[in-house]
Amino acid sequence: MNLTRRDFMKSAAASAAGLALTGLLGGCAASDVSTAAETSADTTTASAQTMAETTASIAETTASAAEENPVNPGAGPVTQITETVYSSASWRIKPEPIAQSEITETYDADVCVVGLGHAGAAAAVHVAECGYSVIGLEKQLQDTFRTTGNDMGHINSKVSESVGGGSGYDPIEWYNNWMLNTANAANPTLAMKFAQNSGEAIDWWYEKTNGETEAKLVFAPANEERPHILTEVGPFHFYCSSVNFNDTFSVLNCKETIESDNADSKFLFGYAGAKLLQDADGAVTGVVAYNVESGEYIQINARAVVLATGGFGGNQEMANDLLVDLKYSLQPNDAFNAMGMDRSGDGIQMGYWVGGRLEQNPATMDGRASWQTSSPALVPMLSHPQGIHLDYTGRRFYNEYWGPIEMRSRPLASRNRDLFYAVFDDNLTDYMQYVPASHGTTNPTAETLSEVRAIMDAAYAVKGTGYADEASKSVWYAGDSIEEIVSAMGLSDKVAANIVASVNSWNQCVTADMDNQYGREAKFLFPIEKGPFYIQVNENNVVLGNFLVTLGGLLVDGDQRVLGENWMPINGLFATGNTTGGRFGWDYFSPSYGVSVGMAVTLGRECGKSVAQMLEGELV
Amino acid sequence: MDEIKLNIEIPVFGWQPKTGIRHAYGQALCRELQAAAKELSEYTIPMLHISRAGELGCGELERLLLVLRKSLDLTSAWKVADIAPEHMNTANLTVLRNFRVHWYRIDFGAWNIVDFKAMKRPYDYSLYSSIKQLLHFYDMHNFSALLLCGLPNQKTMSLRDSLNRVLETEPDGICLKPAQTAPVAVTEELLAFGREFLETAGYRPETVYDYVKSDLNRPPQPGFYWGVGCGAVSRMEDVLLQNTPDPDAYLQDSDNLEKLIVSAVRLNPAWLMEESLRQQLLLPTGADSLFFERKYGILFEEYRQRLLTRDLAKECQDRLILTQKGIIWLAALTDNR
Repeated sequence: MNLTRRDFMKSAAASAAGLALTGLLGGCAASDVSTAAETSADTTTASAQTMAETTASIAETTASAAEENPVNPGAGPVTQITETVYSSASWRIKPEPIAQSEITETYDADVCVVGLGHAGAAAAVHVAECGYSVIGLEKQLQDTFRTTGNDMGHINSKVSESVGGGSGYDPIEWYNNWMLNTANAANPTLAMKFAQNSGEAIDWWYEKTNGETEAKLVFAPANEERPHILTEVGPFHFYCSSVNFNDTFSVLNCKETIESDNADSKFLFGYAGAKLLQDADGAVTGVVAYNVESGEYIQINARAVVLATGGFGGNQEMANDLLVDLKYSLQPNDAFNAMGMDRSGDGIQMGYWVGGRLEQNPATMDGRASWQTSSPALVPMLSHPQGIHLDYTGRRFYNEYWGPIEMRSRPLASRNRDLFYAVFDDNLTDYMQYVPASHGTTNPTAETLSEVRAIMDAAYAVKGTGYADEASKSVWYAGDSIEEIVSAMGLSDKVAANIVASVNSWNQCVTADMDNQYGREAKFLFPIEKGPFYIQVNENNVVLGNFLVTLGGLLVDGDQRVLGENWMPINGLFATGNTTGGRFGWDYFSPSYGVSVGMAVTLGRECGKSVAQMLEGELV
Repeated sequence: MDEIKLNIEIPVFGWQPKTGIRHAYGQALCRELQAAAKELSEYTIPMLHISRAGELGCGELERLLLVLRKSLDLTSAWKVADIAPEHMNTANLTVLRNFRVHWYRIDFGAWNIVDFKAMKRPYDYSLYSSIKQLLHFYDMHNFSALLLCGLPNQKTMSLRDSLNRVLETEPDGICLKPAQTAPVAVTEELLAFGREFLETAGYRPETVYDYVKSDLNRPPQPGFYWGVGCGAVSRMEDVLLQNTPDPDAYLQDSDNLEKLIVSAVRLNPAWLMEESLRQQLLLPTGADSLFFERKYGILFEEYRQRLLTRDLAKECQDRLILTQKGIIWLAALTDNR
């Protein structure tokens, strides 16, 4: 039986009281009840390309124009090169203008800060303390507002010293160490600003909590319990002064203060930036924002705008578009996602739409460092550099004790990561005390050392078979000799022979006090000689691509003005925090815990200083 | 005023879809909602369910929620969003929290143990523990873990192991959901075992506002349901409606509901039987002929042949993802998954 569509729905309407939606179905295809599934199961081969073509226009531009050099008029014309865009990602498409009739309210202020996390709030508060009016926009609602990540890496604060942190660090040493870690890729001015001002900034920011939260030391310097905490590994320095406190209180307390001090200043929660306003010369003159609950637009006219909306790792399309090098490094078992703490990239988009330059292949927090499966704990093998690490052939392949954990995992990013072995002797827990205060380090407290000892004991208790340790997602084999262990592991003869030979040659290096294989420092040449011995098998537990946050975005100068064409600042536009690029090198690295958050607060405040300078006409 | 439950159907995109697809789909959803808003305003909406909320980028998700808020009265709606672990980040959480979404479901447990072990791929439960901490940090004490009962080759002991692993993460809630691949008796046995196990452990298996209640199985439960999205199914009492399952057609016609709805079926036992069999045959384990014949009293082979004449193999070839409602998104849309 075939029904016409109208007949069918007429019937359906009669049987379904109040079926207002049937009005939608005037032209709906008729379906014979007995063959309806055929209709609904109709399959079409979709062409993703077609969809992309119909929905995204490619903003591909390679423009060049010869114009007079504005900096040095006598030097002749310069060639302006706009970024060549190889991507057609939809986020790159500048949205249509928002009609003035859609603006429900207009504010005027000296400064508008988009994003009130660690960096944006610090910038806004400093600007307000300089006597300027500021409108702060924050996407989160006030009643549920939280800053994310509260370990604040820095040096030389009073608050750190008060809770037992290291003190008296040399800012110049910190700066040179940072530039070494980033292979001189970081913006030198910003790096030095951080080195010189981070302690003061953290004290200033902690004071804003009004005592509503307690600061805690993240990783203590060497003490009686842990006498061998390192401050140097090779040429790299480490700092034990990071503190943890919840600066949500700082932001909320400052909202009350700045609003009472200046009637034109406001922190508007539940508002997100939509796009920037520009004048005819391209200078940024304000922001159009929207209410996240009602969708209504507001306009903020401002002499300066600071973009501080954080990274873009929570935006899959942007991550997929921009993290090209990271994606290239992945193998099938790897992951590719933001593990939780990143933002939507709004500020980077807004800056890009007005011509801001993007950092290419920006760093992520540990995306290119090897993680243990999907968990936020770095590979135990890498956290335990005290032994020797072998690849799937049973041969050593790098210096296990080379710099911070992100750096020493670098060689793993460009090789197969299916299988690694780590070989230790019974002194592992003694050697484990020689660690720097670096992100991902196993803090050698008595408790953590006893946990590792328990794994070793458990493995020895079942020697001859492997002990699967859930925490490290690895299998530990133990025995009274390396030969005994490799025999129990059921390896091929060649791999077994390689492991034995690797251990023997390593011990020769130790005896000679020189690692002529990979240059490990003499002070870390721990012999593998005291039984029982242990081999940790790391199968498919070294994973790349999980990252906490992205650390790159709009390129800025030393005053955190966003750079546009010809690397010149876009007038009136600043960016700070994880919205900006040019601070890290190939990946996040950690001369101390929480350096990205500490940098957000410090450089956010420094950005506020630059904005104030601009408003005073002092910024060239 | 009648109540109608609303379901936003979002396909699996993965992290690396071809450029523009996610954005285009988000826009199409908005267009469809705006087109249906007037008619939907005739109903009270007690429940909004967003399948795979995190599959949309945070920008698309935010636009969708703004359109929802502007188009419909959702003040009394219980809002539910499913987010897969890989999409759990502060960007998406902020968007959903601003929308006052109350409840999260995370798919893990039995299915994953069977699946990932078979693939020799490590499956890290500590990820879920981290997610729980993140949710709690955001004052979301409503993290609920879902376990499927009645999976291929699932035994009570494997379910017990799964439950033990889940309990280690101390979720705020645990929901047991019947899978549709095992015979009913087996599934019921597993469900009963799971419920008793959880009660012994101090958990009350969720029964109110849980996934089973909020999800729209295909065909949806009796009542009024409205599905939005490509291939989405709606039910108006005994009438089943379906949007086009063709992604291109959906993107083109999402604001034209007359074109969008490609089938309207009055439900009857014969149709339900055939649809049930069709879905079973789409699963890797196939269909249980004895179960089929016991349930329907009709020869399995006759109906299998009937379906095969519809070129089921070809039909399945490009349809790799079976969703809760039987909507299958084409593999061509999800490269590098």
